[in-house]
Amino acid sequence: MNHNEVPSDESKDPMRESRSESSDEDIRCLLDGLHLQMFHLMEDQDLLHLLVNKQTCRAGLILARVRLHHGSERTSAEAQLPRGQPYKAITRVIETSSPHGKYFRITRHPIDPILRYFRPLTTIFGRLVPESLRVANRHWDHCLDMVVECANIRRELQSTIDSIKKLRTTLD
Amino acid sequence: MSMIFNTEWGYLEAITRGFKNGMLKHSDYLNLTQCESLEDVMISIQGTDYGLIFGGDFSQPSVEVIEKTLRERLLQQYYYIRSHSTEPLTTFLEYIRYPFMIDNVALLIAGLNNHRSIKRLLKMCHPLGFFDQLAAIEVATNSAELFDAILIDTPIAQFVPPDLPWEHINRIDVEIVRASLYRVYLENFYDYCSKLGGNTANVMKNLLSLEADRRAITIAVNAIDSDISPKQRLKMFPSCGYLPKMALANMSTLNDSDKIRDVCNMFEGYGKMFDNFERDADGMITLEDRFLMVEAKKNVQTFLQQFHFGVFYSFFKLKQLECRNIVWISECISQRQTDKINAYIPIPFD
Repeated sequence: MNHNEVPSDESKDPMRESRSESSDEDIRCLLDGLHLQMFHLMEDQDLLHLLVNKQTCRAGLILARVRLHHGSERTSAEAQLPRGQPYKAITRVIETSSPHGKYFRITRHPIDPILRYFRPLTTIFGRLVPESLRVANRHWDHCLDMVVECANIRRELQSTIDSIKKLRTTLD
Repeated sequence: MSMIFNTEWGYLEAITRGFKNGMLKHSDYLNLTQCESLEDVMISIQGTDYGLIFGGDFSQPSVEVIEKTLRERLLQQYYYIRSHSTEPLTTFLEYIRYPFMIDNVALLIAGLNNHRSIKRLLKMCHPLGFFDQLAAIEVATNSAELFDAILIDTPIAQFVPPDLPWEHINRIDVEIVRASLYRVYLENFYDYCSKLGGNTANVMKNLLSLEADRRAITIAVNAIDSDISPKQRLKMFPSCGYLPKMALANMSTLNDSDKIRDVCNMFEGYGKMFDNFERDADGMITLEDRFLMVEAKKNVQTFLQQFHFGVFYSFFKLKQLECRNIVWISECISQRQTDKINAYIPIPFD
């Protein structure tokens, strides 16, 4: 350094101030985007909750219908639910990693009695399952997909909220 | 016959017609469907011919309590008629109980195969199907003993098909066991009514033929895409219906509901039962609903004739349907899904 030069006060550098203002502006824009994303995710989550509720209620009503049709002719499900005999789950929820983060997905094994992958409906309720029970089963199966989707959205929503908090801390 | 009938069973027929006149009318169903809670349902029921069946206690309203109480009233009516009856009406009334016995035996076999306790299972049994040896089923250490030591002395023994491999009963699907027993029961009942002759035979053969066809078609539809062989399916179809043996043999091989409809339409015009329910995207109105409506209509028509035992059979069938209708309405209210509350099976008394 030259002895004749006076050291400059960088904090009063106007270029530094404009750079700081523009980065704050970028952060605020990013925050706006994240807030919008958060609202979209909340909307998706509520929609899925409604759909799951609707499907569950529908399936519950169909079970009541089976009761109307058959009365005591159908053996009580409590007596038919298997106990003690191990079955392998056909439907499994697996946590998978991706470049965007972790997410849940459903895998469904094909039916294979030799490997003890049984069809739950006919194994539990017998091989003469009425159509109403099959319809109810389909409703609940669809519910599973929606619940997993709901969990993924929830995870993404939480990540978005964490990002918003961090950015706010940065601004402050 | 009518004079003899009246001396022996005239009082019981009159009582049964009185019970039938006390069943719920359309206006009663309207009141029930407008209820907002299960307490309201119970109060509305007590305003009908049922009277104070809940004893004024509405502290724990639930669908199970309503169903159990209605069932007790049905039991009281059945046993009143049964205890005052003489032969052959007594045997006829016992035939009305046999399906409940079959259901109870099927429930116990299924439950014991799944290691449920007998006490818990007995609570689930229908009281109309109780018989002395029911609880003794638990004592059987294997399936062969179940038949040889226990069931052989029960009324169910006469309905066990000779080709049912009872020693391997725990490996056979319980629904197949039930269907096999029910087939033999229905055919036996049909033969018994035929021997009674007169109006009873005419009325009961009509009703039991519809029941046989209903069971055959329902089993055929429910067995679609299952691994039940055509031979096994044919063994479960009752043969005392209007559908000829050729139709039953044909249906046992089909795996498509459209083709089953074509077979039914060809022979007895049952094809119209399959209409509409496919267009009902919600899956609410099904084949069973259609059959129940036709059955209800035929059971009501039974009362147009006198001096026959069919009135007793029809009354109990209609009463069971009424109980199930009330349970359906209660379920809709309990689940807060009243948009389908009017989908009960109407009983066309008016």
